[in-house]
Amino acid sequence: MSSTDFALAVEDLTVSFDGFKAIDALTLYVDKNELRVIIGPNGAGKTTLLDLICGKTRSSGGSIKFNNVELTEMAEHERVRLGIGRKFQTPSIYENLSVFQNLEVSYPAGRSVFGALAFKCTDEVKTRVDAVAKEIGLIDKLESEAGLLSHGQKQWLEIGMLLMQEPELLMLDEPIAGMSAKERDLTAELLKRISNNRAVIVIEHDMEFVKRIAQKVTVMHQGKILAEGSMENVQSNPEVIHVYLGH
Amino acid sequence: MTSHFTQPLFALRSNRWACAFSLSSAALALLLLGGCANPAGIEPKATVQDPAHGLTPAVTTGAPEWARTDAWLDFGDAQLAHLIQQARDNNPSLAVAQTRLEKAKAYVGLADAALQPKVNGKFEMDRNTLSKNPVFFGLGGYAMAMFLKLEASDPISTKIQSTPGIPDFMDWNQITALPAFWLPFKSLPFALLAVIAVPTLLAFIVSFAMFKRRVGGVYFAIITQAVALILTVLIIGQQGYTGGVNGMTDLKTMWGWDTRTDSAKYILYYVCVAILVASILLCKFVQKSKLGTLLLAMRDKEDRVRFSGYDVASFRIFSFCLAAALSGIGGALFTLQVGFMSPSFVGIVPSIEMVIYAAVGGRMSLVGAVYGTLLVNAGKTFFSESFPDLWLFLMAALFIGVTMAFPMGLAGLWESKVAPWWKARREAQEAADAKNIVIAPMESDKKAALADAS
Repeated sequence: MSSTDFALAVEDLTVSFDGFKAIDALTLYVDKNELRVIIGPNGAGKTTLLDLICGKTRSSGGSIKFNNVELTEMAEHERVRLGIGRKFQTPSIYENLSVFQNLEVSYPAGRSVFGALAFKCTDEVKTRVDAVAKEIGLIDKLESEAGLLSHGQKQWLEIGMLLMQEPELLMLDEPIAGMSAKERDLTAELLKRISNNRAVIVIEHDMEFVKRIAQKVTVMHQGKILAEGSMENVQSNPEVIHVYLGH
Repeated sequence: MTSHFTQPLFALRSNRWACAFSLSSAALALLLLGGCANPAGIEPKATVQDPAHGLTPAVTTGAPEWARTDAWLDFGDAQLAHLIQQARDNNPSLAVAQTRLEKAKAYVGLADAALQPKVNGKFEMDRNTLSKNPVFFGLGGYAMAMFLKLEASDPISTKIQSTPGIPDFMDWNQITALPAFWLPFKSLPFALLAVIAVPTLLAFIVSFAMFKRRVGGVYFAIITQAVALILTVLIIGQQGYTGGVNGMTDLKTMWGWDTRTDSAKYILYYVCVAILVASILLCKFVQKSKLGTLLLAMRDKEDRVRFSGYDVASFRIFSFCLAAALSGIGGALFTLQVGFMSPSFVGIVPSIEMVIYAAVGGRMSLVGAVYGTLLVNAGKTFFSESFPDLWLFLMAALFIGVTMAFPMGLAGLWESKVAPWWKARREAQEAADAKNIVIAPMESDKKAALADAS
């Protein structure tokens, strides 16, 4: 298949670390405007899959196409510029900068060396920072140092930094890890809002949370896809039950 | 670690001013005096000048009678005049004072080395790449020295050589024609361009090769130090082309302007200061720009910057090259100030010294590196003069003490202790003032009320 309507088309993707196949001939399609949740036991290769898509890890074989553009040979920052955003498992923000600066730095302008030297924080940038800060509920915290935020707020800030770039594909690795019940509710709302006009891939362990947000669930096991479908279908799949509950 | 403290001994002895002071281990000094180049470099500094220089307005006619310093000549006693002259000429304190002055001025030149740690330390703002590299300082210095050496080697002043018109060290090494790569350095504009371009180009090649492959941390430091060592070996080995271990000495004029006079030294000093201020402003500009924020962000979370669509390597390369360019300018100014350039300013020891400047001043501060440099060099002068046997240990104690007591250097001390104290004091003062202001109208109100009442 050379051309698709999918936002993301992963085909026959393989990566092996010293002979161990962390991802084994995996094929996965994600529609535009789809919110996909990937679940699976530890070591199933979920995070590795995201690493391969964003370029943190290089694949050993297969193809990754984003809007029909082949990504496998591309540098990380070039993939980002195409519209792929990635949130890491542990909140990855600039602790020493203010919330405003964190968002400002993520604004997709002045990305070259001399562009960055000439970059001015225009009203347009400020408006965008304000809009995103409202979205993630940190409008009152713009001037505080990011390192002083609570764990949940840090997670939101990182999502906000990705939203600054208006990505077409957003990949979130365990976005509610370490969040309180209330923060989880707010995050679920946030995810629903931001997946309106883009493709979103979420890795999550918390089944209650998955039920609340998922349209379609992919279950991974040992680098392969075990099952795919709605949450109800997947939960009643004997193979999935077997993998999760053990022998 | 201890070997670092023994190395500077060798390096500094080969500087000519240090030679003048290394009375303690005369044997070693003698051994190395060969490396100190011609004695003209050491002694004449004290004697070239008229000993009475600066004290003798009386020589000119029309000076007031009391200002004369040769009044004894009026006695017409030749012996007295001779004795006084002898006493003046041989007065060691005067000679020492003069040498000290020269030394102090040389260190002013060295202050420009501050450019180097400042840029790497603050700008790169990355302790992984804190390996201050004097290679670029040395390259800038050599580019300048090549021009000055060519100008000093005109056919008339080198007529005793077997090949007049080429630098003396080439003649000593049986080279009969100026090598091709020396030819462009006859032009001052080319030399000035090379001062910036050569270090920048080398920095670009080294940093491109490393940062694109994501070599960082300790490996980066090791490789840059290796480059420093390679260059030192190259310079020392190619004596005929580079002046070898002696370096390039006897640099005299720049476009006919004698750089050895006192007035020239003052002018060069102010040029140094102006360029230092300009480079601080330039660095401040970069620091305040988005690029500065990005460099900070990179130090914190490199991957986040990369996955926000930035090519991290290109930013690293840029800051490394900018640091190299500024270091090259520092090296050129240093050469102009001290009148020579030698491989001892290229190797690993000066590199470690530059790290120390930044560490003492505060590696997170732009200005900190400047006063770190001044302080360390002032310490070096003071300790080496007052405690010739102990000074290296005292310097080591200073460095260890400073880094242990204030890990962020003096700038960190200022920011964490002095500035808050000052602010609190001022706020208290303002509060007190505010109270006084409040009280004053009340007093007048009372008076008005009293007046009304009466």
